[in-house]
Amino acid sequence: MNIFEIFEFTFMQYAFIAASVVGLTAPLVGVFLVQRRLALLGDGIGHIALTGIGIALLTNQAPIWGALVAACFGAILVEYLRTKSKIAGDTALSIIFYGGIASGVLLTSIGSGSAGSMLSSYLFGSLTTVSSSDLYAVVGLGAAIVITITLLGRQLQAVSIDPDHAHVQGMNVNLISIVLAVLSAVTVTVGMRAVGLLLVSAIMIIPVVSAQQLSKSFFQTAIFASAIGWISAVMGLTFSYYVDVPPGSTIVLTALACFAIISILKTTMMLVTKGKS
Amino acid sequence: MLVEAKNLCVERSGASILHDINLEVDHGEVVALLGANGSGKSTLLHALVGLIPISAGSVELCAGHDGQTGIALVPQFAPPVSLIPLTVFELVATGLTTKRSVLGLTRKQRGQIRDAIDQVGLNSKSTEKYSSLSGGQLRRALIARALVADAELLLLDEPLTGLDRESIKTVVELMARLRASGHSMIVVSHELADLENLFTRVIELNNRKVTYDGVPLARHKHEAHHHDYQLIAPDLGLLP
Repeated sequence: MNIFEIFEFTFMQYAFIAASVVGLTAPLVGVFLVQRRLALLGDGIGHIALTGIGIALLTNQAPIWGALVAACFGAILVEYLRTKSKIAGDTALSIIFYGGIASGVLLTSIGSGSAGSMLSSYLFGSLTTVSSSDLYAVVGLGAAIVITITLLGRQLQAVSIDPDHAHVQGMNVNLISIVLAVLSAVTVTVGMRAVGLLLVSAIMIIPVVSAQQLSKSFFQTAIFASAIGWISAVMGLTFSYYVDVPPGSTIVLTALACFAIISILKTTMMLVTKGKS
Repeated sequence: MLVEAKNLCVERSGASILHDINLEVDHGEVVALLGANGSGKSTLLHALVGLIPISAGSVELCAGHDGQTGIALVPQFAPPVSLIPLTVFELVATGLTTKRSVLGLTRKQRGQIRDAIDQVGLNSKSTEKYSSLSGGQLRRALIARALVADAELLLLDEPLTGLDRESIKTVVELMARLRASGHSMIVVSHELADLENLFTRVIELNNRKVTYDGVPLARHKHEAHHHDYQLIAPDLGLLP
């Protein structure tokens, strides 16, 4: 078996580029979400993005842009409900969560002839559905995530660590929180094709939890998480090709395997160090 | 004027927490904000900096450098320990972050952060995780975060609460140095201050209102008993 044969197919080249973009960028956003204890935000946004796909299919628009608009709207709505209303954060998220997926299933079923396979490809990712126009969008949105974090990383970090202190410093905490929510929405859209809307949140969070075990600082965590995310995405996509299953499942399971290996190695090293002393 | 509150009122769920508070703090003042538990000291501190909405009145704050307020808060409790490791250097660096901050730290800013960490005596802990610090070291790290932005007014919320004797001594010494270097402070304490000799002024809150505002009186000193500062201050040469 020639292991490089998968790179001979154009759809796989597209899939690898899309998976690499999501693997590298999703954990960069995830590190701020974990710090703010908003690890499930991506999940809620992913569900409402499905509604956007349904609307796009009904109106003959590209699903990726429908998903992006709906995800951004959902992200801002969750942030608003979380901070301004009397509804608790997790309750606000669940309202978006269930409303989003119910509307998404309804609209996608009406908007497409083959609702089952169509839904599956968006919910769990699909290797063959990454078109060249999707790829341009994914790369462009991935670049937007990196540029935003490079420019506003310090503000995102300060607000994530201690929003009260950031407010006293004169920062616009609400605006930065919305920027983080929108970044999450863009990440969900970027990962929609490769990982799927139901599992994209996992690639934002699991590499971060793995990386924090290896890191001594916030910055190191972000870099390590991005590297682990990329390894998980590329390896998971390769497994997906050979096993012929949706890539979302293999990418997330690879990320979980990385987490398990790192946890076991770290525990073993701690036991060895303790034994020596 | 560093901070000025006029007819400030705070309500929560319809209940009055603070009523008709008038307050001015000027350059060089070191103010003790005293009162029993639940008298609204911390609420007043948080209302002054906009962390709690006021229901009536107004607050004016001095402007600082680079879009900052010129005021820094040293909270009673550190930010919650999260999954993400954070070094002391990174924590202090957030004190320099403003709404105009883009890209990474400049060389000058790195120098400012090292200076602030140096001022609180945590040089050797700079690259360590802040979650590994003791209570006293953590309080000093939070003071360094306040100092790094060159704020004119520091708001300290119960800075000695929960500290052991050795840590109290270190923090008291640090606050005395801050006063000597011209920093203004408002310090919240739930009992008559361990730090009373440091203060130029005492404000007492009782039953939602300011009941005393003036120089520290003899009765403030007499009411102070078992105060670590009074035990420690003579050794440090802080008492007049």
